[in-house]
Amino acid sequence: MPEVIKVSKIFLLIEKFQKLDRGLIYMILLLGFISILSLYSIDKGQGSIYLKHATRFAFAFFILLIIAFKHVSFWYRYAYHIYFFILFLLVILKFVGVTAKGAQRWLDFGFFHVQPSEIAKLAIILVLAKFYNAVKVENTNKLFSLLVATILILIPFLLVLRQPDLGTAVLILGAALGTLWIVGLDRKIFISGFIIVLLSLPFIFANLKPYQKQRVVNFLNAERDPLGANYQVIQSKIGIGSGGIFGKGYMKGSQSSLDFVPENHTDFVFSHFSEEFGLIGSLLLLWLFFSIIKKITFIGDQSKNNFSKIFCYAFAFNFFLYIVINLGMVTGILPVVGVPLPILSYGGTAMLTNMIGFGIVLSAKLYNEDFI
Amino acid sequence: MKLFKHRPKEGYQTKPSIINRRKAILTTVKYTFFGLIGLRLLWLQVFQKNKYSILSDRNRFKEWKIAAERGLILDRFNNKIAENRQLYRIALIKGDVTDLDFVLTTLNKFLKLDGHIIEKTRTDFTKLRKFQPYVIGKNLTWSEFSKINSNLFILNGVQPFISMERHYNYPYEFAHVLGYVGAPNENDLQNQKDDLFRTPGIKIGKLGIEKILNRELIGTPGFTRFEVNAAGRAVRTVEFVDGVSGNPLKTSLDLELQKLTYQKLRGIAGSAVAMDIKTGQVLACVSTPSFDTNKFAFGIIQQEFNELLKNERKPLVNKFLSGQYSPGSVIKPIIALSALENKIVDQDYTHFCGGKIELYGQEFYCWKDGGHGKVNLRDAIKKSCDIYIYEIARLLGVDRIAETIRKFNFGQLTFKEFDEEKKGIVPDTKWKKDVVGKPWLLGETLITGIGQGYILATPMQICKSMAQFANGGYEVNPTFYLDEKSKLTRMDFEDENIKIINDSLVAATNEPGGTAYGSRLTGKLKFAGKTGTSQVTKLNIKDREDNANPNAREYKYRDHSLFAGYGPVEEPKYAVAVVAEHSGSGSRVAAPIASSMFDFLFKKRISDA
Repeated sequence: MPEVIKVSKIFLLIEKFQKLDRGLIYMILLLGFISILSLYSIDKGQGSIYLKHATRFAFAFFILLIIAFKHVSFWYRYAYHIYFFILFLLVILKFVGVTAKGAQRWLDFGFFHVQPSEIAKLAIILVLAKFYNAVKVENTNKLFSLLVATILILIPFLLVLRQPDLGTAVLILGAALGTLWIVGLDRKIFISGFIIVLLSLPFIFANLKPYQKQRVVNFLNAERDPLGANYQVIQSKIGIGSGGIFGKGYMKGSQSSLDFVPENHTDFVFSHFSEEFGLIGSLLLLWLFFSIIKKITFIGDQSKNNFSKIFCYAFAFNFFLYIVINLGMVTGILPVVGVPLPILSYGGTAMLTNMIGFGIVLSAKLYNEDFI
Repeated sequence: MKLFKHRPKEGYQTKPSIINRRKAILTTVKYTFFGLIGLRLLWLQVFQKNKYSILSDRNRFKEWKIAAERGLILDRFNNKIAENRQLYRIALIKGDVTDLDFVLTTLNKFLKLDGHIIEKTRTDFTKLRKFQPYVIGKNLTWSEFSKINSNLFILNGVQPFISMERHYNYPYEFAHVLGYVGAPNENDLQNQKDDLFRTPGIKIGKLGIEKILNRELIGTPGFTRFEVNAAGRAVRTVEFVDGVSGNPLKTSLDLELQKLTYQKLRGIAGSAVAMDIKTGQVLACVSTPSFDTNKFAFGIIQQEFNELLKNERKPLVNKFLSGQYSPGSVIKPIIALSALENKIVDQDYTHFCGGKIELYGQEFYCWKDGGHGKVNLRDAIKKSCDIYIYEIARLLGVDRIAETIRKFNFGQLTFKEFDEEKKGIVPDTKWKKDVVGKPWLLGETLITGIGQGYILATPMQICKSMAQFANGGYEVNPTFYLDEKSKLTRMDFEDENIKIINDSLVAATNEPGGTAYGSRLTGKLKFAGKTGTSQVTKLNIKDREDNANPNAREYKYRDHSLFAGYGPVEEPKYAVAVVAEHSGSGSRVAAPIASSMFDFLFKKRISDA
């Protein structure tokens, strides 16, 4: 009865399509659309960055769909493989990585530059989700499981920190801590860990690279050196502030398009968006981001298996971290650490990582009745 | 081992319930942080919007001011004496010039630039900010300009442009009264409240009327507002606002008379002033030798400037305002008036002139060897008898003389706006005590009476005093502007006494034996006036014998030649004063010049009108 199988497979596919979380997909598409519009406006319609971004978005969205239909157990099964593959990439980065702005972050695959540290954020969530899915509740706070988790987190964290890439390292740590929080690690451990970090801050500061120290110093003395290293943040604030409630209008922002805001395509893309669309546009964008986070959390709620739950919550938290750190930095309430705004910022790997994450979330939704 | 023991309380918790509780806490955290970001945006975009909007515009726009066309300067008949001409010039834009050396050598090929211009460009150019234009200090001819224009493709950063620049139609004639314009220097910039003088390429008045009325003439600069990018390069022009050119200035000067006067004074170091006796409007004021004010507009070459400075005839000095001379016999009418006013003498009082007198153990000479014999007051002025004046001066005393002279505003500034103007000196006993620190000598009273010694006056003051005799004893304040008329205030003199002096002034020019008789006009309209010959040094006996030939002395020791007069006699209208430095007697040089000025005024401005 091969035909029956074929037909039933097609029915299954249709059924899957119907079950796909369209709300999340629409929101992702809307975000992609906003990002392309913004990049188009930054270059005043010239240049090809927006086209490149659009192509990448389309490609990443295609990957997202493939992943969405793949059973979520695939990721459960291969979580460790992925994790070690990423560690391998991070290690070989030391030897074959492309150096830019004093840091080795990219692997050159010819047509594609990949930043393994970006994918590492996803890998750490996957690996912790798998690990804690297996750990029994009563063992969560046991020394052994704590030791394993610490090792799993510290290896990629230190590798990325050594690149050096403080922003991504912080996000890896953040994503990992978020996951640990979700799986129910004792609050006392968090508090004591926090105290240890606080006490070792001077030591950490002493070991920072000069430019990282400068950033922290700049952040602490806000407008000390307007044309120096703080220039970015001041210009970004000028862009946002001058936008007012209603914004200057699409294609009418001057701060970014006249190159006053450096990194305007990547980390500071929000500054331009906010200049053109004002407080109303910014709050709507914020609302869109928040809706996505809520949606992911909701999908986690619906999942019957712990792996999906942990992954969804951790990924939502990771997504949240990106947004808050980026917006905090762009609006001048956090130091500049080089964290992109998900989907909106120009940059291939971050986009791909986020889309893979969304794909897994969609897959978790599609197979939320299944156990692993 | 207790540490690792399972706590029964937790045993009842299933995994999802822990996860759910933790998730709920995380959700609260997320709300909090999103709320914080939202509040931050609210703060920046609503409460601090104005601050950031201003900063954004300051980032975005740069204004490049363009100097407005300077106001025309016209004579009283609307002839243009200073106007503006199109000049072809080139500017180098810093930042666009990729290779300064190449640009300069190429420009040199087309323009044959002077070495000092190239050097100046090279040094000044390095001081500029990015994208600031630098204007090369040379005016191009049309053919040079078109050559540069057709070679622009190899000249990166070279910007040809047409500018309107001051041009003086009669640079020598009006040099001292109009002054000239030039680029503002550090000093000029420091005294400014606003940044008008920082307008690129602006020229400001440096001297004379150009300086005094600079603000009116300079107009309002226009500007081009550019949107610039972070590097300062202009991205597009947002707005172009035309400047408002300066108001045209109507002076009271008479171009024809000025030209004639300059012509007559040529070859002489001296000055001449003509004014309307009722309005005080100055019709002509010339100082010679003069200089080319057009050369100053773009910065005169140092060497040429040094030559002007070193010239012993002082071309740069405005002689009608800052030349201070012993007035000589020109002061005699005022001494005589003082005597009449103080009732020392009346018009019938006679005195014998024997050519010299001895007083206070000193000999005082009359200019005429052998003397004038018996003279009355009228004859004393007419023939310029020194002995008669010595006598009345002696009777008056210096303080009463000084009082009368001061009533004619000698010893004070005639104008207030001219920086270079001098006050002159009216000496009296107090003055000598204060300034020289010695008591007054009686002999000095006598020589003050004939306008020698300490007394000093400017040609403008002399002309003004003559105008005040001519208008019947009213104080008149000279002006250079056609829309201003002097207020006439009665001076504190008897009408009758003024008439007596005026009558003697008419005699001095129009009766045989009068010192200016040789320069009289024979037409229907006549002028009156007094000559003056002022000694520069004390004469010894030999000099006195040589007097007939003043050129025998070294130039700087020769007498100044003066004349002050008014006309027409019947219905006075104009007053004239002429001072010719080191030229000999008043009747020989100054009077004929004044005569030709009167001749012109009578024929062209009275008869023809």
